[in-house]
Amino acid sequence: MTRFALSDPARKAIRVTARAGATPLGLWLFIHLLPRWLPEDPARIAAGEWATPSEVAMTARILGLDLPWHRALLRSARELAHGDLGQSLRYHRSVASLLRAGFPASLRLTLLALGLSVPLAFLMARWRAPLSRLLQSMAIASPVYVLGPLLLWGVARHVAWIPVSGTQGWAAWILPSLSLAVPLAGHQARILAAALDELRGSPGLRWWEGCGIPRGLRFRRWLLPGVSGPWLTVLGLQIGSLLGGAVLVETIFSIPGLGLTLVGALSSRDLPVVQGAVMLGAALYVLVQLLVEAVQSLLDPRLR
Amino acid sequence: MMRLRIRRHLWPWALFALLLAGWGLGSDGVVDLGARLQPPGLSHAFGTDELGRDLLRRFLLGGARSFTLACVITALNLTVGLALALVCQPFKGLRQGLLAVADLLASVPPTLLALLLLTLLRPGVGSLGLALAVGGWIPFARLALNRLDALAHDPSLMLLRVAGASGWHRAFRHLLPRLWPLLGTQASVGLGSVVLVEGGLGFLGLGLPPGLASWGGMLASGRAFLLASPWGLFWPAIGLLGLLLASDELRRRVAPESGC
Repeated sequence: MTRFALSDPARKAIRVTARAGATPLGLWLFIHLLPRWLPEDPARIAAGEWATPSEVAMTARILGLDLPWHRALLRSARELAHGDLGQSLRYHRSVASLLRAGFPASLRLTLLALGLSVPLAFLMARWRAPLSRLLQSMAIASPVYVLGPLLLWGVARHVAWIPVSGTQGWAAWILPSLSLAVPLAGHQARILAAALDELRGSPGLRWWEGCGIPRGLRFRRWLLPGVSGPWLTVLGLQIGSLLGGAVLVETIFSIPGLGLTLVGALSSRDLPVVQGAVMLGAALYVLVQLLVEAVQSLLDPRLR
Repeated sequence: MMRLRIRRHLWPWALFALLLAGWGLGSDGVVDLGARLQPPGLSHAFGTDELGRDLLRRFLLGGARSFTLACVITALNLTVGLALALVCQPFKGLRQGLLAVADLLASVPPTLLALLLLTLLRPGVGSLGLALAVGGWIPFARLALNRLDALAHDPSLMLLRVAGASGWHRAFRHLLPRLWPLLGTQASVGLGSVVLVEGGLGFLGLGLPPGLASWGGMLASGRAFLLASPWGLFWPAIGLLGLLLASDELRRRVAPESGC
């Protein structure tokens, strides 16, 4: 991410907002124009293989494909201004209400996975052993769709109080969040370990150690801000891409979240819902990036 | 010492060769409902799946397909990214435009981007390839652009120009060799991420057509018959883990100085 060396905070705020707004806006344009660029007629595909020409025409009308592109864009912009993301083709509900229904479960899953990944990453990064690197690599190389079923087989089959699927009770969230958290933790641990190594050898930290500053204070005052930069960058990128992983985890563990909504919409070719989910994902990504930059500049005075 | 290190790092290449050898098997195996979900044994070394097909054969063929697809797409991404960077680097407007498009596409997780494209396209290998490749060129283009910027004022390249070396000669003999270490590292990272996304799509039933074995698809059916026989899940899981570890190892081998 580029940073601006502007002294005037107001100008900086404007530029940051403009940059943050440009990405969702551009993506919104891309998502709405993409169906027109592709060689196949999206209405034909959305209507299904056995649709009659009149059904295809109706689908095209709902999707706004019968209008010229600028008028279709204007129409969906007007809808967006009213908080309306369009109508689902399959369910007689608005896209916004479908996404809203799935959001809490996905948010919970995401937060749990992140919360779990941070201590895991710390443990993996602090643990010095010949095999710790291999463990980090293994964690990075375990996709959620491998880890999830393996956890089902290895844990849920033997432990009676952990359910195999669904969201009943807190125990149901353990395996889904764990299978999301392990690869995240592997990535974080790798970055953390490198940053810690670099800092441990630095003369500044050895000086404080020689002065007899207690370990806890050293950690809080120097080590944590020192590693927070790269670590938060990775964390921010990971939060941004969590929705992609949530699609798989929610399918494996039958969690009624955004991911399951998206997969259902995809298999029934419900284009407006897929577009809405992608937009939501991108908006969250941008929001998280802004937050990460803010927290980074709070923790690390060099970035201010 | 040198020889030892090379040998230790040779296993990714051995794995890749093994995976490519899977193409020699030809067909996906016959359905034999009498021998459903068998554990590894003498007649079927890896056991059989829910339709009685030999898991070893499907494992090798699925691996060959995943790996080949990932290689082709990574090569495509590298070429597109490099070409875009080479074309856009000298012009300020084009450069800004390229970076803006890259930022835009990078804000969507690759799985979501692939799902969006698969909603819009008819199922097939071509659609799958397009869905996997749509955002993959970004890191290549960004890296190449950065490196080209750094090389723009390189004295040795300027000297070549003054000496009258042709554009092609400079590009192929002097510029590309300097870009290669960086792009090669990114290629091994990109290979891993294509394998990862492709496996996920296969797991969701959106990957290769149902008749063709793939690791993602095997994982999905292995999960469905998990209690009856876990072998259908184990083999593709081991394969994917191995392939992803290999791409990671390769990255470290190409870029040992990065440390992590």
